[in-house]
Amino acid sequence: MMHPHPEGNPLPPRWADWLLKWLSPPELLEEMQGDLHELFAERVREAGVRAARRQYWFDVLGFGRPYFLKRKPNPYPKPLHTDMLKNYFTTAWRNLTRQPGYALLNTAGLAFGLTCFLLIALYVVDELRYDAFHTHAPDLYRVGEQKTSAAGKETRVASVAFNLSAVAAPQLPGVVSSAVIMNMGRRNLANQENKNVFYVEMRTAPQSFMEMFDFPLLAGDRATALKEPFSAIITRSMARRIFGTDQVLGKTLLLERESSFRITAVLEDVPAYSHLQFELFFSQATHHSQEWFRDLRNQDWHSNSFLTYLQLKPGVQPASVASGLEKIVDGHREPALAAAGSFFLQPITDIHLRSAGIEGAEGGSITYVYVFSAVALLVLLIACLNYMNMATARAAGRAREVGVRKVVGARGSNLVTQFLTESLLVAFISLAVALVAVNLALPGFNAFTGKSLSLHPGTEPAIWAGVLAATILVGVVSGSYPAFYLSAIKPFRALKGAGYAPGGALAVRRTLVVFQFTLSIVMIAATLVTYRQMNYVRTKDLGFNQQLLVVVDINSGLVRRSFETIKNELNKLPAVNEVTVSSRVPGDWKTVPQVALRTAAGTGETKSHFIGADDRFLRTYQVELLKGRNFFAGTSDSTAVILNETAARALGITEPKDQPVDIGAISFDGNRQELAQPLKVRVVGIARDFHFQSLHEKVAPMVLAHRKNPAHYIDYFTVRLTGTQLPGTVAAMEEVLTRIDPEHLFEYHFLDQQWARFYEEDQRRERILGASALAAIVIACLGIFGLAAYVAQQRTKEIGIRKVLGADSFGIAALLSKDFIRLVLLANLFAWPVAWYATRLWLRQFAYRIEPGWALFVLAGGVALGIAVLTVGYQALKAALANPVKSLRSE
Amino acid sequence: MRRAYLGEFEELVLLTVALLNGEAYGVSVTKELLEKTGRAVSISAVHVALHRLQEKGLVASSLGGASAERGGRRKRFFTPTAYGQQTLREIHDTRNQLFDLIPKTAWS
Repeated sequence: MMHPHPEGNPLPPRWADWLLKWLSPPELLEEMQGDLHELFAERVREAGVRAARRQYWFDVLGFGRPYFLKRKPNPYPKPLHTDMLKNYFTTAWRNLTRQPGYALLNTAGLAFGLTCFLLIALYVVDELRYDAFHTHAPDLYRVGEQKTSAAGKETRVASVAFNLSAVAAPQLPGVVSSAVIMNMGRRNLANQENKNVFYVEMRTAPQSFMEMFDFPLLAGDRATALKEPFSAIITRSMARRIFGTDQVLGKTLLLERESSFRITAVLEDVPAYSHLQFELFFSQATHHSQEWFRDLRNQDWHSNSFLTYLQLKPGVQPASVASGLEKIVDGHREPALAAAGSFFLQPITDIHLRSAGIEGAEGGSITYVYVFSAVALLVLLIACLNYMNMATARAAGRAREVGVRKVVGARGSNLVTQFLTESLLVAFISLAVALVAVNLALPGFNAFTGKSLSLHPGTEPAIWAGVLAATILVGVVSGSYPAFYLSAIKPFRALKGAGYAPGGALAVRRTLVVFQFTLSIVMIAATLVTYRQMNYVRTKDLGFNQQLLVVVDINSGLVRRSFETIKNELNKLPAVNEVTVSSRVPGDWKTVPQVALRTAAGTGETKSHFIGADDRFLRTYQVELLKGRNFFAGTSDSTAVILNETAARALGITEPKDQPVDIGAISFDGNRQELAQPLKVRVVGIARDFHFQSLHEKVAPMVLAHRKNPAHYIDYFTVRLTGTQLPGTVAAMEEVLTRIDPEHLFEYHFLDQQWARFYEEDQRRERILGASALAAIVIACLGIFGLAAYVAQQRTKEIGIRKVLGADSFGIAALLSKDFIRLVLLANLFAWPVAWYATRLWLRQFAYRIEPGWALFVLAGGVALGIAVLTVGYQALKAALANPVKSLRSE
Repeated sequence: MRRAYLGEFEELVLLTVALLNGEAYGVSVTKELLEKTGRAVSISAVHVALHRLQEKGLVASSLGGASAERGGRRKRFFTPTAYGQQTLREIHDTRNQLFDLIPKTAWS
């Protein structure tokens, strides 16, 4: 219909023509366009090309009238191929049932990938939605303070001075409400009815706490629960523990050193995904009338002792509220102090994962959430790549079918739809298998992660929607490449003979295998490195002997005063080797305070950690004394101190010669307090460095002072056991203490267990990484297993001929495997740099770390290679051992 | 009579189609209109009118007359149907009747 214009004649603007085609009804296009071209030619003659082109545009636009636009019919009436869908399903099903081995392999691969993905996804989703269940969650913030010490070190703490909560709502327009949680320490709590006594932490909260947060109530009135003094709220399980039932509304609790409290509300147990965990809260109103409380209100602008939450008006910027608070607080502080601190507001939904830099913070880490998400996606990707590989490898088998379909009139898009249907079918079957697998694995997974995840018809619809979306994505992604590949089959060649497959697939298949194995090798290497590091951390010489040490908390003044007696009594126990007292112990969950040291000669301060101990400390912990002497027994030596090597180096002391040192200030939790009188001490000894914090940290300077010091009193007994007769010993120790102070709560722990807790999270991550590496390599092997089987099948005749001509089975097996092995070796090359870089990044968080040597990466590659050899070799050998008569017989 | 409503412009186009006597297509009608009445109409308006006339049954069309200038595209030629001719005559008669009835005194 379109004949080219005679050469040399100018043409109307192409875009205008295109627009015309778009605007006009097809049946009128010819005459309309013809007319326009005719007019154009005329105008070119009359007014020149430019004017003609301009006019052409006007003319075309004139055709954008309702008259023409309305009449425009659907140019490509495309009925929905719902009829064909049935056929696609039937074909897909037949394909699967006719080649059960291949179908099984593919389904297994996808199911495995989906299982891993779902487990990790559940974990990640759970981590991410901490604290999101409160209605006001987007507006709730926790107040923290960022302080810069004199030495320039920055610390962030999550508790602030009392008055921030008192002034926030009244004085700042953006703040709706505030709640401060006060921790009054541990008390004995009794149930009036049956006199059971429990040792609980007494925490108070204001009524605003009930309104800001949405902890679900079982009984009671949210609006008044904490309003009255002497009321308390309790969780269901705590109620059961104390009263034996959860119908406790209105009952009375007796609290040591306070009077009785009435239970005004019973709460559901606090869910695991709340960062704030509690079982009991007492009403803050109880203390409002007391003098110490009023003093706090009047005077406390400096401390870092109170957990404070704010609720902002929606849309208010937290930064502006933070600076508003700062202005108010700075007005009540000395300029030096004011300059060093600034406040920040942390959204509560960030607390669980993003509190990394904050002292005393527990919880997960956002970095690991990213890492695990990446791992989950990678595993799923590998599974999809598997499907793609297998499907394209088997293309020759489908060629005839595709050829016939094309001849009968299927368009490319139809074929794509067909193959996508197939892959979606497989994806959903895999989903069914994966759901079963996930539910089987969940109990173990939950135990491992310490969560309570679940995936069943009752789980939130949002999660199910995600699961469905993931499955559909898997189906579409897996099927995309095979679909396009297969629809490129040329019908003529396909129908001519057997064994035709479109070209170009071999390279893609090889790339996919290399990619899969690269990922697997990286993950194996990462696992190996993690394992080595954790091993190192567990077995590294800590500078003291952490075995067989029991630490007993000193919880009452009476016990503290009578410690000599207690020490003697404990020493009498047969199983006890040594006893010492100290202010802190290595591995303590309470932070070791820091002091500022100043030598006579030196200028400036040295920051050092501080532990007050007695003369038995070094012996009990088996810390080596390098130079000088230990403390003398008794109190005569109270101005003596022992430094660790790092501290000695920092102060420039090589020989302990009673050098005088001034301790000017002590800071607990970043709260610096200047001592009224600087503590003057003398250096009498230098001890070997020992780790008192986790190996994530470098050993810091430490000064071991005599227990009789004004800065920090003793807080712990440490007992070294002989290692025999363990069970009765703890009871005997408890008895010793209760003899002195019957009301004393006996709290103890084994030091090595506590120490291990530092690395709990790391160990957990190590396991997850290991499991993922295993998953990745399993899927990759499923992949090459299928491919190898297929390749072997294709070359049956060749193998038969080779055997007849005298080749031995192993030679043939080697021949078949050669190709795959080469690919795995190539994958190694790619994997090593990536693994090296990634593991270096992770290791940096440890101050004491291993250097991953070459051997580790070679090992990872070797493992992958070994598994690949086994997988491929099995298929190759099987093919090589086949009877050549059978393989050559078929025609 | 059962005459379809005919707009003023459509009437002009119909007249022109009849005038052109078998040579009437988009471009020629547009040119003729410009020449005879001095009205510069857009080609699209003329096309709309022609197709509306066809819808109303007043003209019939056929394709033909491709030329290189048009890129090989054919023209759609319009001719009045019998009904169209009848309509024209009626319009003409009606106009004349009314014109004749104007009293001489109205002409100043």
